[in-house]
Amino acid sequence: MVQHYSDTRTSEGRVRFLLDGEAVVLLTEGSGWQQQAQFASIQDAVLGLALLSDVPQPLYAQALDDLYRQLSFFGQLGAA
Amino acid sequence: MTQNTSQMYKSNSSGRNVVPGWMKLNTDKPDAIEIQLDIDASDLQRQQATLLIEYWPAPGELGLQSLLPVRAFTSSPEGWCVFVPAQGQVLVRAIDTQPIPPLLSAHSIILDPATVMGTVVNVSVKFPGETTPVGNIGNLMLNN
Repeated sequence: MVQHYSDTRTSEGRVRFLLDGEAVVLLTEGSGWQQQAQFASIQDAVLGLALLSDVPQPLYAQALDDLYRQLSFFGQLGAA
Repeated sequence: MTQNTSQMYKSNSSGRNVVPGWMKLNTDKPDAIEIQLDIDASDLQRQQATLLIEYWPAPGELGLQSLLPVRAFTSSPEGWCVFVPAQGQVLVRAIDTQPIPPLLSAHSIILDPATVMGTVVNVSVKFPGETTPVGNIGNLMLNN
């Protein structure tokens, strides 16, 4: 079962971290583009997000904020 | 979901993250050189800055081009590197589009075919500090 872990929307686009079993799926979209990538860990997914030059800085910063809030609230992946 | 997992690789010797795609660029030649990319600590807050890394196996032939946003350095304490064979040329361009005019600088590394396997090269990027504008606010106000 795929579980939404964090979902960030701004006027510039949307960033979602999803959990698919052991894997972390990163979905990013904006006006006229979208990308999907699967990573082995949340750390790798965060690195992958940093490398996506389509994702504007404010959306990137907000997505990390939301992700870290989820991580600190739920403690660890899969606990949500 | 059926997509492949994007694997993030790390250098065995340095522990740095490898910029995605920058391994085994040439199937006939081994990865002889690790180019380590460093950003000056004072530049980490540059939100729009990015490194453009290009590999040219031969003149006029662009092999690979990648963008490495400076924010990737803040989300990873290990830092970044690329692996290249001992052939061709690597261009590293540093770009910050935030100031006007934008900052742009390029650095070229020519890869000597005689380079010993396991050679490490460092590229340190430091953007120039805030330039003092010609004259100052006081002078400008005198003209009003």
